[in-house]
Amino acid sequence: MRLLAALLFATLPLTGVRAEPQRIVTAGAAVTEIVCALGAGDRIVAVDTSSQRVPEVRGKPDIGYVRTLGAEGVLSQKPDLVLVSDEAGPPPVLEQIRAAGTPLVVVAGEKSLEGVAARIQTVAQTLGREEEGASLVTRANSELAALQKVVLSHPEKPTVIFLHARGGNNLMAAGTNTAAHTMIEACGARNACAGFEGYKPLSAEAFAALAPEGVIVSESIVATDAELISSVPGLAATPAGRNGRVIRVDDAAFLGFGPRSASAALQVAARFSNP
Amino acid sequence: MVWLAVLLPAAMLLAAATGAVVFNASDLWSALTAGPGAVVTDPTATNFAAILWGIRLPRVILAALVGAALALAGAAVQGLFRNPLADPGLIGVSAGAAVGAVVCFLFGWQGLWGGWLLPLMAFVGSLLSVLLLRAFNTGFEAGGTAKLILAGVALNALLGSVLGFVLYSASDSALRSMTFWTLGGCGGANWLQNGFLAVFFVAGAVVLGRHARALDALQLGEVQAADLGVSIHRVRGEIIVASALLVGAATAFAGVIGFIGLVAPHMVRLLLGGLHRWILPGSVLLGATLLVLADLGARTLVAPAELAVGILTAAAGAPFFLWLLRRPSSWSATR
Repeated sequence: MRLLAALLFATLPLTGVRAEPQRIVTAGAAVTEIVCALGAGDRIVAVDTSSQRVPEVRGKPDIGYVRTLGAEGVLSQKPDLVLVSDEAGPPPVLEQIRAAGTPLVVVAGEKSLEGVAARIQTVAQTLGREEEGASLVTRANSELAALQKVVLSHPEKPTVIFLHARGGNNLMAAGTNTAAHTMIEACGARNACAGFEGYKPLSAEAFAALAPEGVIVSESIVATDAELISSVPGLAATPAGRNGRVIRVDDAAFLGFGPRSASAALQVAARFSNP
Repeated sequence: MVWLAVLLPAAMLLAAATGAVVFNASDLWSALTAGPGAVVTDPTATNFAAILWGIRLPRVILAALVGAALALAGAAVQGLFRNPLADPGLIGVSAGAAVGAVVCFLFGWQGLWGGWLLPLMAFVGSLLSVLLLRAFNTGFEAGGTAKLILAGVALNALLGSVLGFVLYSASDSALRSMTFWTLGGCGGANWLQNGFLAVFFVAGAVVLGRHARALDALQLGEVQAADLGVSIHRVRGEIIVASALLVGAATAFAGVIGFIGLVAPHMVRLLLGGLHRWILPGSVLLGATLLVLADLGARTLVAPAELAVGILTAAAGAPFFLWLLRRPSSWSATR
């Protein structure tokens, strides 16, 4: 009899009939945001470093950088579910967590605004919150539709540069094959830095030569709107700086392809389409 | 020597018993006796056996093997170059392994072959760097030790610029992976990897062990050593290749971990004197102990997050290194 009960317990996760997870560990800001948006934020017991900026989970135990997690550290939080973004790693550590018997789900999705719905659905299904998930997807899709409308009504594509800081004064601009590039195009603009791939340092001269009509600045460079134009060397001389078409964005929202991404794109598109 | 031999198992025991997941004594005992294949019947309980056998023990053993390999190579290189400031990285092996690994990350291949392509490329990188060293030095037979050091310097500079170029060309996500890999770490260890590393360690240790007496003779100077019957060129070649094997294999599985190869042999010399028949095994034991303890710190100090172990070895090693430079030591003559 006890053997039967033990077997039942062991196979319970396989049957799909599972109790809702009570102790969730998440890695990846977008995944954390989705869990919170679905109303399960209070079940999260630990998050990775990039998720610390999500207000609902700030201050919770930090399991480290999403790409270099530690198996024992994650397991020490006694999770009954580990939800990670597809950047999580290293792969041997994810295997170790699974081998210890803890369910680990990788939330994959296309790195685009269209991929947000797939991520929301994966998380909603794993948590058993399909209803909340569906309404979140509907909201994201309607924001996406509003964005398409704005983009279509302004066929001219301004040249835009996305600036990010990587420690100290190192200003990096986003080339192709980055989340920023995808978002710039989704906002109905053209990436002025499409000539190179990934993030590369941009000298002030090169910046002036590119003469972007719009500049998106990550919050990692400047904290308030007041210092926006003065904080980036060379910005005031560009068409973007002269016309005030400079906007500051929250990295997690703009680059994360999570629930807030569509509205972030909408804000940027609206700002750049107004003369 | 005896208590060095006792210190290592004690350190390993401590490291096995301590970690981010707290084990009390009975949990530890039941996990030990349960063995690696234990099936957990209660999904809400912490699977101590899986954590101990699948995560912690492989990691402790990896740290011990890597520490031993790096320290042994360090002792051999210091003996060969008759320079107490020598480090296995001097011959460019760690840089070669790093280049191999970052090239793997550059193309996004790190997950291929079940994750084995990454250490393989790092190891191939270290072997290629030995070949390059040989080419720069126009063979290991000709020329003196000073020429070899300079060849190593040139090789490190070349590999450094290649590394820099690869880092520049990398995509954002590859760059982050590269940065963390080069900081070094023993996470994600498994028994199969440890088995491979153990084979390389034993191979390198056997070769180097045979040259203990030759290394002693070399301390007197190359001419004197030759007069004592040491075949300088053959010994030099074998020591370099064996050290490269050790460092290459260690770096392939654990990234670039500095200072163990520099510091451990010195501490052993302070304790056991200058004979290589004691320095070599002593370095093995002490290097393993140091890295096991450093890894313990790396995974517990900021739990549940982890520090890169290379940070801890440098933080502890740098002050020691400075102290070494400052004291008027009887063994510090650089010739």
